[in-house]
Amino acid sequence: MLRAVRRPTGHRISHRLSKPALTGLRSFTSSSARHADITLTVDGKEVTVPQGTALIQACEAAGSTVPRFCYHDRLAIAGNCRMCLVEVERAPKPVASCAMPAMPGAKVFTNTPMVHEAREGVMEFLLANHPLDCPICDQGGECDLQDQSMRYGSDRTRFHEITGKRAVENKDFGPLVKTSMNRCIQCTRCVRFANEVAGVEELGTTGRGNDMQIGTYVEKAMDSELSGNVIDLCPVGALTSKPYAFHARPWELKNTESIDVMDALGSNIRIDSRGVEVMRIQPRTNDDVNEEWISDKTRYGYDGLKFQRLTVPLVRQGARFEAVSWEHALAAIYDGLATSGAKGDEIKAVAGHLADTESLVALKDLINRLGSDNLALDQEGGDTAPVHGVDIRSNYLFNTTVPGLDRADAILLVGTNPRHEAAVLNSRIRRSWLHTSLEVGWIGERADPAYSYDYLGEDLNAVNDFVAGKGAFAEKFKAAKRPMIIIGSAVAEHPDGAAAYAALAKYVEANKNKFVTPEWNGFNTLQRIASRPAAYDIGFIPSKKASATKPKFLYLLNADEIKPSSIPKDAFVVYQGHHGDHGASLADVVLPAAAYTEKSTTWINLEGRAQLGRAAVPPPGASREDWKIIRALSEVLGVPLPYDDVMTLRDRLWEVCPSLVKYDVTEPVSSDVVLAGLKHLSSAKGPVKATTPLKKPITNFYQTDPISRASVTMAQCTRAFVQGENHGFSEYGKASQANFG
Amino acid sequence: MWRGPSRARALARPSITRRTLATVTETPVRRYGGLKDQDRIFTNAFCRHDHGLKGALTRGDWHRTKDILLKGDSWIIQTIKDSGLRGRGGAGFPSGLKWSFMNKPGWEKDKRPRYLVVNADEGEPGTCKDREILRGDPHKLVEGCLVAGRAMNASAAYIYIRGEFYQEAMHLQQAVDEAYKAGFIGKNACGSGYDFDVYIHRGAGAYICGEETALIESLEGKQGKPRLKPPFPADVGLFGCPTTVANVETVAVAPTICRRGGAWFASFGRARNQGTKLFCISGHVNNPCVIEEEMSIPLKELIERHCGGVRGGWDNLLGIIPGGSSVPVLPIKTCGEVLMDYDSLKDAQSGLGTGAVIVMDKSTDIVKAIARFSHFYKHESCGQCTPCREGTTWMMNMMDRMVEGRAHQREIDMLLELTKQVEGKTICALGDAAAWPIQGLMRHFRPEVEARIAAFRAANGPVLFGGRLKSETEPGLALPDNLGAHLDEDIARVAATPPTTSA
Amino acid sequence: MALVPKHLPQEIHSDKMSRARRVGAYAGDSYVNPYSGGETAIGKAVHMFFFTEILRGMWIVMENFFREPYTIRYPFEKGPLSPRFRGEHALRRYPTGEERCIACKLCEAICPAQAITIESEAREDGSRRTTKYDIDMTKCIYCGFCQEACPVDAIVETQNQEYATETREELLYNKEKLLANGDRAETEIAANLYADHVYR
Repeated sequence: MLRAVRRPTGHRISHRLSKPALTGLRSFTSSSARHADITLTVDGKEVTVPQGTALIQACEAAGSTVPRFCYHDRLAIAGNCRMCLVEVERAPKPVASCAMPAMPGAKVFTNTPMVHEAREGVMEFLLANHPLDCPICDQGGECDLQDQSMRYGSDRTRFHEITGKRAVENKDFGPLVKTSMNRCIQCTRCVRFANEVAGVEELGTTGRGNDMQIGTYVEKAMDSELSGNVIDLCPVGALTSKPYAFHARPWELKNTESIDVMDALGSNIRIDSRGVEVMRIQPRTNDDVNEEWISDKTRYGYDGLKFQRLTVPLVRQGARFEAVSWEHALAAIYDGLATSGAKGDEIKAVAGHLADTESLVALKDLINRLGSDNLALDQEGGDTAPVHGVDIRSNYLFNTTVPGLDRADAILLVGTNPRHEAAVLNSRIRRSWLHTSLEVGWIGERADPAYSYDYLGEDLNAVNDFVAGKGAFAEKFKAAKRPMIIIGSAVAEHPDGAAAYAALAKYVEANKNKFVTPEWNGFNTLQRIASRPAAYDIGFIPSKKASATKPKFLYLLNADEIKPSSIPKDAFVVYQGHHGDHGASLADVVLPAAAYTEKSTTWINLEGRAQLGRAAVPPPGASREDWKIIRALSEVLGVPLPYDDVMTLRDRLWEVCPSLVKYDVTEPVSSDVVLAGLKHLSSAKGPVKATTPLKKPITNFYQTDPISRASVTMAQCTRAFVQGENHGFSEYGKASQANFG
Repeated sequence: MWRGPSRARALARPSITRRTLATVTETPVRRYGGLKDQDRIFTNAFCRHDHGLKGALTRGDWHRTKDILLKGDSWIIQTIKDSGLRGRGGAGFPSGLKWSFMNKPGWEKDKRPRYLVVNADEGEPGTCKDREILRGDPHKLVEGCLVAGRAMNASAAYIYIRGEFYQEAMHLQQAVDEAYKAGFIGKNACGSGYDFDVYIHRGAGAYICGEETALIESLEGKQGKPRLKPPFPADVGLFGCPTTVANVETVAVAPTICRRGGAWFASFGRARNQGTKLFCISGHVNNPCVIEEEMSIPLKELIERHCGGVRGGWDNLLGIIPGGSSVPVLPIKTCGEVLMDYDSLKDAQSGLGTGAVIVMDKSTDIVKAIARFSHFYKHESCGQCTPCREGTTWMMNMMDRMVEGRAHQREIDMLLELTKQVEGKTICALGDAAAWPIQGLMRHFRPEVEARIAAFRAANGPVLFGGRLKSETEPGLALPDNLGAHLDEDIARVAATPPTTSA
Repeated sequence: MALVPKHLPQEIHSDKMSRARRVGAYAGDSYVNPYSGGETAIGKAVHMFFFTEILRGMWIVMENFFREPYTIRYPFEKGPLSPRFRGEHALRRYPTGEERCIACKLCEAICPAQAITIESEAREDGSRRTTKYDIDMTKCIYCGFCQEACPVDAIVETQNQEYATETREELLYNKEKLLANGDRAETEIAANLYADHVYR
């Protein structure tokens, strides 16, 4: 354990025990794990809640809403806003309901004169130093303070002091979070989030009394992949979104519930749009996937949807593209296919990162109908079948499931940096690490995942050593009751991938009573690309023969990572996608398609959970939904696909793989099948000695796909956080205060 | 002249009034105060003798401590309970009861270490008693740590000493070192087989770190901000372990109580307020001092006997703050009557607090004095919870204006309402402490404040809410009606019209 | 029940009689005669027989017959307008020349006819400003809610009512037009706002 261990400082009741051997907890919680139910009375209504529940939750359960600012379900309790005061029988003073555990038989009142007086008093104090700048505040219309002051605030202020209100300098939190610290009510939600969930101890409070300020201690941007969540957490307008600043009001926006595609987690999002424009993206609560958080790329990458878009079909004319009609473009493809002379496996399709399930199925059907099996994936070694195969789902999915992660007591990470590959998932690992005695082992390139780990090595040799039981971590892992192995998706792309998979599969087989039980499956692959689980599910892989064939006709579906050298000079290339990125520049014909906010499609996340994205805005210009383009092309090519609408296409999805259309659930793979899959993996042949180290697949978290590469905000983040430049987008001290206001 | 029986009765002392068969002898009125030298616990409070181990041994410290330890935790706690000792830090919680919380049924199974934390972060304005103990009798405290630690089965004591106490920390460190060397503490303390360590931690000078949970936070190396209760420190305290925080004086008297017996200690003072206590008298007395006295001594006697009386005589007295800056002030009338104990002062709507008596004679600007307290609390508020953070500043601003009289008559009531909005709504007691002095001021000296407002008004014209002068406002623009500008006209009109005499 | 007057229909004496009706006839315990005030029957009869009311009416007619007419010659003469008159819209500026509008979009939100369209973003100096402020004057119903909602008195309705146009498109006002209106009428707007500020 070479890294300095980061521990939260803001956690109110977290203390490192002086003798770690006693419990091994990194964070001490006072509430015990007992779950006996207790009954109490709230406003004359009896309610039964588990023991250890906060009074505020008991009140919610009884249907009495309690106002709050500092309390948040997913953060530690601070109890400092004092807005949630309630009256408890036989208590001389009003009680802060967030900090008080519910007691059996207690009589709680949330609607008495005493309670109202207390809350009105607190509200007056909160408003005393809160600027009356709601008209220029981006939180206006969705502000907790606004809402609650409607009920508990006075219409006239009593604060007329000649000394005036408190003035606080704004802080520079980087290109994503805009601060307006005059509005801060010191609820410390952001501090607690940063310390507990994000694991970056850069936020904190300085000063005391009325001079207490929230800040980053030194002038430093908040370097976290989850920093945008503090905007949602902030109950007032102190922390707002910088890219969204002043652009829209919440009441103008249309909310569309959809799914994120920036990583394979499939975070549930709400796309807020006005007219044809996506104005912002916010998380949607789904405890099984992303809880309440989303990564910054998910939240801010949307402005990439406005730039570099393909809006009309293009056909290459010499060195340049010419805009043409759809008929013309499809005809050009027909001609191109004919002149290239591609037959059978010489027709190759490459599926990229952002391809949706419907279009993958349609493309596979089309290519198969053209007599080819040459279905490649847009990744290193994507021209051949992946080492884990696609026959058994458990070999390439996150079998433990995301909520299952919370129960693990030892995790081995192989060739992955979950902080960049699935940032929200990483926060779950961190939470587990913080609150339980979870042990984490790490094989591969070092990174800072916001929790400490035992570093085992960087390559296959370390995997072999671990499997052989060498080292302290291997012993700890052996002792674990619910061990988890998480293999990064990049391992399968690595030359040693097959060997690593084989070694780990053997290990799991040897310990199958712990790894593979009806309620626990500890063998996981962490996919990082949104379309990949779906591609494996439908078998979007080439046959052996096909992968050896040199293609003459290439169909790139959202494939933007493809190497130009892998495309034969004389091949005819069609690109279908929404951004004029690498893929389009290689193409002879470019077909404009819809981005994820513009189409209603199915996305399979890394656990194999099918989720339905919904269209928030129409596709721009002449672009169309992906599967419709393929359907239209099939007509032109003379091999019409048998589905005319999306429902029939989903019937086809069901035929291919029924789990693709069982939305919002994960289907566990039965233990026998898992073991069969492991057997298949462990039989693979590969090099015994390591050839090269296992590298992190993502070096720049902020730019991983065409959308984020086109995004101005993500470019700023790259400069600020990846390249570490303070290049002046919000240089402190040089610009006037109005810049931050 | 014949004197009627009624007159004779009135003159006679009550104990010798006419007796009938039905009367029983009334108990003689017990007078408190006048503690004898042999009953003093802190015999070196003035630091006239050696504060080191040698001097301490001559004063009887560490005398048969082993025997006390060997009598076990329940004996010590029972003795403390018998003695009626109440916490000397200000809240006055019965110490025996508090210590017994550490020994809940089944505590032996809890493998966590257990701590005694001694609160030597004496920062309350007017209070200077712990300092004298630390300076003159540090061994009393170290021995007290051992005895109290044994009572609660603690494995170590942390003494959190105020950073400004340099000499005191040196003396205490010397005492701890000597005690370790002599084998009184450490492994097998005093040969009793009990292991006990004492650590000294120097604070950085925040008043709020004297609050028990803030003190724990500070000891842990975090910002000294009070924690939420529950869980109470006896369940989850320092480093997540059962902890009891006790005042220096409470801990330091424990060995003497154990040696001389609970009944001896309980023989001083009124029921429920037994014992002796260090009082620190400061302000306008002829001889300010820290003196150990019997509880329930009349306030007037305390001042007359030990401090040479109020400067300029008792009649020159304006008011007394009987328990440090956080309790309400008492006017002269009450000062002559109250006894210095928890209950009597509580009945007088004040409190004993730390026993820091601040005497103010008629030369005092009482409003300014209380405004200074408001400054103090504003400066020392930790800023964690809303009512205290915002309220202390607001109250300070208003008090500043009251000093000048730059306020509206109605703002006095508003200020009182603000204090009520702070009081009892905060995490710790600092909010209450900030509110009480102002409440005390307005309770007893409201005419003084009103007179100032009237004088300022007479000199400068009407004052709006918030302190702006009406003459400073734009004459052409209408004023909002919540500034109190129109109220003045109403008041003036009412004053101008002669009161109608109606039946 | 003895005090119930005879002329009331018998059925309402029953217990079913609504309390409200009883209250109409009684104040407390005593009966109040609703006809106790007003003219006597004799007075009414005198007015009826001597046509006094008709004659008084005719007198007013005759008075006005000889008076100067009230009519004003509109384009040349204009009637008085209240400071609260709600006419053509304008966007105001501060004396420094800075536009007042801060793009809070409250006018857009409150507009019952949805005649206002605003787009906003941060300006170079970081302040919140509109990039587009359009009012469709053909939709506007001149309710004045926009100027009520405005926290900075930026959008106001001036006293100008003479802005008829020949084409519909000319009534689709943009920000430049509105600001120009404001610049032109600033003195008048400021005076009107001042005249009314006591009541707001």
